[in-house]
Amino acid sequence: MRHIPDDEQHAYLDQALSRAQCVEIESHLANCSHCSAARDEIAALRDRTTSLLASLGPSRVALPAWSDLAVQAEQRRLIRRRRWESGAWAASLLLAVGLGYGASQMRLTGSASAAASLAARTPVVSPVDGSPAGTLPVPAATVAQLTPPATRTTLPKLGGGTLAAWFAEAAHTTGAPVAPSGVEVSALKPSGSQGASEGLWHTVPLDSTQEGSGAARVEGLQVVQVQVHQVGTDGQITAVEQRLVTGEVIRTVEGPASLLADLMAHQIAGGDSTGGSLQNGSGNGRLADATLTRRVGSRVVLLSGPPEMLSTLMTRLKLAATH
Amino acid sequence: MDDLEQLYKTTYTAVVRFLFRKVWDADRAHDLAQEVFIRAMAHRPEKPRAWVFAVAANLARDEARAAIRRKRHLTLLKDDPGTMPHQEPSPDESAEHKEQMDQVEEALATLSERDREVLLLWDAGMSYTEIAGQTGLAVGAVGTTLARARRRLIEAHDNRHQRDHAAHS
Repeated sequence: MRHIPDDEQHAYLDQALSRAQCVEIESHLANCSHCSAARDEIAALRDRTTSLLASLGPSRVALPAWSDLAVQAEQRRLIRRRRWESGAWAASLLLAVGLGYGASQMRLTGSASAAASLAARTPVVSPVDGSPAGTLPVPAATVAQLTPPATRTTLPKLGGGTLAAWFAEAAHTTGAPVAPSGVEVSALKPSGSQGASEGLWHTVPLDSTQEGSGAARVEGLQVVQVQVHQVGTDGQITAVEQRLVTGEVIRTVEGPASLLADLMAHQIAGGDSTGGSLQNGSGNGRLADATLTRRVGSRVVLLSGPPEMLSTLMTRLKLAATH
Repeated sequence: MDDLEQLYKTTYTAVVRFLFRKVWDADRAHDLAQEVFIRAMAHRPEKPRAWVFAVAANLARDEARAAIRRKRHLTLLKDDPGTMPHQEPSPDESAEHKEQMDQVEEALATLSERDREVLLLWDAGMSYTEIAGQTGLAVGAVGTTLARARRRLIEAHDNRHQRDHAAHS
């Protein structure tokens, strides 16, 4: 009589066999003392293994709230989307420049009609228009394409704690910025004339922001993308996001201290904000940006970016002359 | 409650324990387990249970390769003391538990990597089919591997226990 091999005994006890196999084994066990003794021995071995392994592990495992993980997952999704958008923006600019160059070449070779055809399909200010290649304005059509559509008419209150979370949430609402609690948003005022859209978040031409649009921004950065939004009846709060060629993002929020109190409460560890306080923020599931605050009269600027360069950035912070 | 959240509630503890037995650091095991489920939310895998353990195993492997004890990285949950109510055991309980853990850890270390993986996956609640899918073994070979792994674990543990006993007497 064939005895049941060890691995089948284990599989049987682990309930890993089919019903037919179980029936076969059970009928054998009923008639074979050797195998039934082996079954008992293996069952004991199995229980001991389980018992030993049970001692391995944290003594208590607390279950974090699912919603907390969902927040992190959502923040990562936003970061990925922004990276993608940033990449798409750069790619579209390259394509536009390339096509513009192609059009100019065709014109030079006398193919005027072909150039016109290309130009019509290409929303670009090409070098043939006289702009130096290095200071190409952002094509308006490209800007509009990258601008998230505004789908909300009501603005939720500030939910996140950090500046980064505030921006992330603003982006998440597909275009509409989120006002700190207590801020009544009765009018949306896009800044800049080019690339204006229904949404507050919009990509603005680099040269436009370089000239200054009333926003608090850091001078002299090698930016590939600038986003600006203004909140409030007179645009009391201006938020600027400057994406550097290195991929890092410098964010500023500028506005009356009274209106930014809520945001500041999360950024400043209860201390005096007049001198600026460097501290690590937390969030976004990545190494945290730091936030520096600066108070000028009744107005406050929050500057967020990589900790190692923040102090330098603050000294280069250009505040709007009107304030 | 969606399927993934349901899986999270029923499997998180098993994932933490599975990871702990690979990285031997409770905080790190928690971090990695959370990482697994955050990724699952983004990927929405078809077979989430098998996926979760496969990713957990990969993360643990990466961790082992790094071979350094990193400091805490996951920030949101960890920085908020309210979400992670760790209750410290008493010193006696802790010492006894530690000794017991050391013995089992040492015994587990004597197993081959394949045997250890299969044993830990089984202990985390995976079926033979799931273990086969993750390890590349034939389903029929899972029983053989488990049989060997269990026997070796017990033998190694008992040998160590006897050695300790002899040393004390």
